[in-house]
Parts: sequence; C-alpha cells; structure tokens
Amino acid sequence: MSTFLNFEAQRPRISRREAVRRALLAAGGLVLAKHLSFRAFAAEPSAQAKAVIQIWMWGGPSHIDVFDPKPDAGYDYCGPLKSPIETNVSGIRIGELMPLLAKQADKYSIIRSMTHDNNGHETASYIVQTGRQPGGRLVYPCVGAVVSKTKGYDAGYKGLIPPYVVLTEPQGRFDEAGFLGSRFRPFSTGGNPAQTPFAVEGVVAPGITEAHQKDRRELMHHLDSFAQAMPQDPQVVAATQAENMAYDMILGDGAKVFDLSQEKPELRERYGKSKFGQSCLVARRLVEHGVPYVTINYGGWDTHKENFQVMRRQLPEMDKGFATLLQDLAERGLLSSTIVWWGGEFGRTPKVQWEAPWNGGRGHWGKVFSEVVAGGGFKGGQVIGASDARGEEVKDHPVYPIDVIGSIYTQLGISHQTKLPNPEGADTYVMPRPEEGIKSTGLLKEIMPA
Amino acid sequence: LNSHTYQLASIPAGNNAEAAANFGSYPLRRLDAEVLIDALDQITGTNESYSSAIPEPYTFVPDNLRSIALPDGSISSPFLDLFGRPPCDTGLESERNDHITAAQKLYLLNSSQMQRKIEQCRMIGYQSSSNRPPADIAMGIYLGVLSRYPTAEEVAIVQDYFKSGISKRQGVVDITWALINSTEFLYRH
Repeated sequence: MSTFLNFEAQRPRISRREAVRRALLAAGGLVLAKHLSFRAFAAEPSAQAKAVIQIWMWGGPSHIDVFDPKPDAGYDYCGPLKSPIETNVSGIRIGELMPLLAKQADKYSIIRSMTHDNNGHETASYIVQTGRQPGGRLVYPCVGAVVSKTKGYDAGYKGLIPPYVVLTEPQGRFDEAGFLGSRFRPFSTGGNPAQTPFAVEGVVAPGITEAHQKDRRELMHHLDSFAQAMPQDPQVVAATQAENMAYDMILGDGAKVFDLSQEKPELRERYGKSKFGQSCLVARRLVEHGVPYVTINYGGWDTHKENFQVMRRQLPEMDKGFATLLQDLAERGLLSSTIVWWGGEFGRTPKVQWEAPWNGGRGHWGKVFSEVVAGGGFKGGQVIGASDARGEEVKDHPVYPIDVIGSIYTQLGISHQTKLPNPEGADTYVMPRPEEGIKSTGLLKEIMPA
Repeated sequence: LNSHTYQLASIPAGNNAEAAANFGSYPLRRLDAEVLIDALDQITGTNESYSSAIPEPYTFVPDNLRSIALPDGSISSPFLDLFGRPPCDTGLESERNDHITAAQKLYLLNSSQMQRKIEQCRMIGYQSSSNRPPADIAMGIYLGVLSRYPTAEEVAIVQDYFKSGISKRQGVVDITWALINSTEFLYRH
C-alpha cells in the first residue's frame, strides 16, 4: 500500500487553560535556561546543513568495484575491473567506471571502513538507516523520519511539499517511520521523472490534462451548493482556503517544483536522462525549495549474478547523476548547506563467485563496505578508515552506522539529546545511550568542522 | 436519527442571529475521518486497508468492517491519519482534529487512491450506459453521493457539462468527483 501525503501537522487545538499553562512553563524555562545556557551552548551542534539528499543504493553496492578498489588483489577479486582511476585529489583512486565522480573527489569523503557484520537485506537496511540493532521492543525511525520530526511541520516547516520525500518508490521491507508513526513516513512521489509528465502522486494525475483539471474544478464550483449559499461560513472559508492551496500544488507553484521542463535541456542531459539522473535533478529542486530530507531510492545493486555486466550497465548512469548533482549543488552554492549521503545496506563479497549459477556474481558482505558523504559542512577529498588488502575486513578505524548518522545529525543541528516520543512512555533519544550497547567509534571528527 | 435538529437543513433560511443561537439550522462540520472513509467506501464499493504499529496480535480487519467500528486505536490507515482521527493516547476529545487541510484536499481532489476508488465505483458503469439521458444520470449520482435529488438548476449544469464534448464515462466520473469534493458532501452527509 502506498502512503500518501502525511503532511501538515494534525495538532489538537490548544485551550486557553493549556495556553496559560504553557506560558507559565516557558517563563519558568527561561530562568532554567539561564542556568543551563553555558553548558547547552558548549554541547549545541552547529547547524551548518539544512538538508540531506540520501542516495540509497538498495541491494548493497559492490564496494570493491566502486569506492574501494583493490587492483592488487587479483582477478578473483576485481574481475575485469582492475584499473582504478586517479581522482582530482592526489592519492585517492576510485573504480574505473566513474570518470565523472573522479573529477569531483574534492567535494566528497569516502568511508572505506563501514561495518555492521550483518548480511540480511532487511536487518542491514534497518541498522544502516536507524543506527540501532533490530529485535528490541521498539522499531526505530530512520534518519529521514527523525529529520521530518525535528525539522518538519512540528518545527515550523510551512512548505506544502512534505518535509521527507522519497523519489520515487518507498523502500519497502522497511518501515521508515518506526514508532514515530505514519505521519513521519516519507511522501513517495511515484511516477518517473525521466518521463514527461513526471506523474507525482496527488500533484500530477496521469491522464488528466491541465485544461481538464480546470474544467472539472469549475464544474465542482458550479455544483457546490453550500459554498454558493453561504460563502461567509467559517467552515466554508476554511475549505476554500484549503482547496486553493491544493490547487497551488496541482496547477501552480508546487507542480512547478516537479516540472523538469523548467530546467535547461543541457543540464538535464548532464544529469543523464535515466530515472536516477533525473531523480537527482528533482532532489536538487526540492532542496532548493526548502525540503529538508530527500531520499533517492536507487535499486538494482543486489548483483548476485553477473556483477560486472551490471556494473558496466549501471555505474555510468550513477556516475553521471551523482557527479552532476555534486557539481550543480556546488555551482548554486547549495552544497555547503546540503549533505549528500551515498550508501546501501552492505557491500558485496570481495571474492568473485565465478561458478554457475552466479557467473561472476557477488554475495552480501556486511563485514566491511563503503559510504560517501559530501557537503553540509563535511570536508571533501578525504578517506576515512581502510579495508584490508582484499576488501574483506576492516583494517583501520571501523565506522559503525550510528557514527555516520550521529555526524549527520550534528551537522543538521539536531542535538543527540533530542527526545523522541516513545510509545511506551520511556525516554528515547535520537542517539543511543551507552546502556543500549550500540557499537560506535564516535563522530567522523576528521571531516567535521572543529 | 429521529432528532428534529439533525434533520434540519444546513443552509439557513435567513440571516437571523436568534435562529442561529437556537440551532435554527444544522451547523456545518466536517465529517469525522472514520465517517468520511466509510462513506467513500460505501459509495464506491471499495475497501480501505488498515495496519497497526503493534505487531501482534496480527491486524485482521474484514472487508465489511466499517472504520467507525475498528476495535483498537492503534489500528489505522494513512487516510485516517491524514484526516485527523485521534490516536487514542488519551480520552480527550481534543485529540480529534476535524480541521480541513490542504493535504486532505489534495488527497480528495487529485490522488491516485481517490481516482482509483471513483474509477472502480460500480455506479459509474451503470450511469454511463449508452441510452441514459443526462437528467437521469444527474439524479442517479446525486442520490448515490448526496442522498438527495438534484435541483432543476443542478440538472441543467450537468446537462451542460455533457454538451461540452466530453465522453459519457468521463463526464460521469467528473460529476461524481465534483460531488465528493463539494462542501455539501464533506461537511454534512
């Protein structure tokens, strides 16, 4: 079942008594704040980033073929992809099928020592995107849902486009919002941005032209007995207001954000006319519009069979979209406030399975894999950690999923002490407490501002 | 409902403050989330699917169970959440939110879910059968959606709409859509 537009806060009206109570609490809070202010300031994370674009490599991309090449490991490990290329940062080499990303390496940092040691798609997706271990009493929300909670409608976000958008399909097999509930699930656009029109759920109805939309709106107005008889009624006024805002999405500004014909054809071409490439472009437009979290759900990386054929087919497409996104964000001055986070649930078996039925495939590998972060205050041109000579184990500086997530929160200005509304009433925080026993080696200090 | 007050019209007869104070007409209020989805499902002959955040016991909601009869506050659907059904965390009435929002309007006006519901509606096929005159179509859809007969003026608007060269089926879909999106439907049914 697809979710639809869980946007706009459903807040109960506040009674006068409640308002007085809150005002009193706030006054008391001011006094308290004075006492705490020194400490709070010291711990307060800098809010350099305003938005996140998450490129979710569903299936688990092969770390050896992409950002962690091991040309010396031999044919049984690299297959035909044995000549990694130099990037514009000396000393960093990446997979040979990504020439465009090689020219942008100064903008991103590669974490080559990601680890969680889990080889199941569902559990690994959960661990990588929530930072928690599955199996406890609670299903935790992923980063997007936490950002939606802390930067969305509850935090004064006013946009008509929901604060957490997925291009184009929800992840499935994974409940993004966890215990936060369906209001914090992402709005999944549906449709395909590489097609015209990009049929965004609720915004662009396929098969209904703009003229037809206008005609039937007029029909609705003609038949709307209540609105005609009592236009002054407060309920009718509210309904008319809501309707006008909805049509701003359908026929006005909202629809324009998703309308890629507003972009220069050359730029669209640079992103690549693939679903992924054009999704990157839509993501940039959404971020430009103030949407704080966009996930591009990019499937097809579960390369059990014929891994190298898939790499040759898909990596150029990824290269084009990802590299152009970084370049475009930088050119518009958006990269400093936008985190781009690339990664999947795990890496892939370093030793190639040449035998049938895999015919040169790679299995799941959670022992070590790579992620990439860029922008939003993260330094570029760095490599964090290392895997061993064959890309099988972490050799240096293990990085756990919660470390990346915590660093992203810090850059967004989300304090690790931010409480989440726990359904059982217990205290739950965006970052795990020590007693939860989640493995961590701390924030990515090397690439964060001091 | 045999209450006289409940049977009053919503459109007031005049601008009379005393009449308003004494419930001389039925004050407008948006249908509750559960009532609204039940009405939509009944009109279109479709079902909503529900889920619960609590994994066990497994959520099973039979197709013919109305939303107003859901046994447990944890069982919900995106529609119910969107339209302000209370989460039942407390017993307070203020948990319910019947304020109309742009997101709700967007759902009703233009979502694929609504489009699918209307397209699947059995009434559409019958009303768009070839020899049915527009006046009868108007009557059928009005009875189906608003449970009342159309006025002469409304019949004329429907007849005009069919003259605009639109296909019969599309016309029937549009009129059903327009009535479902009218304040009359959303605010009192």
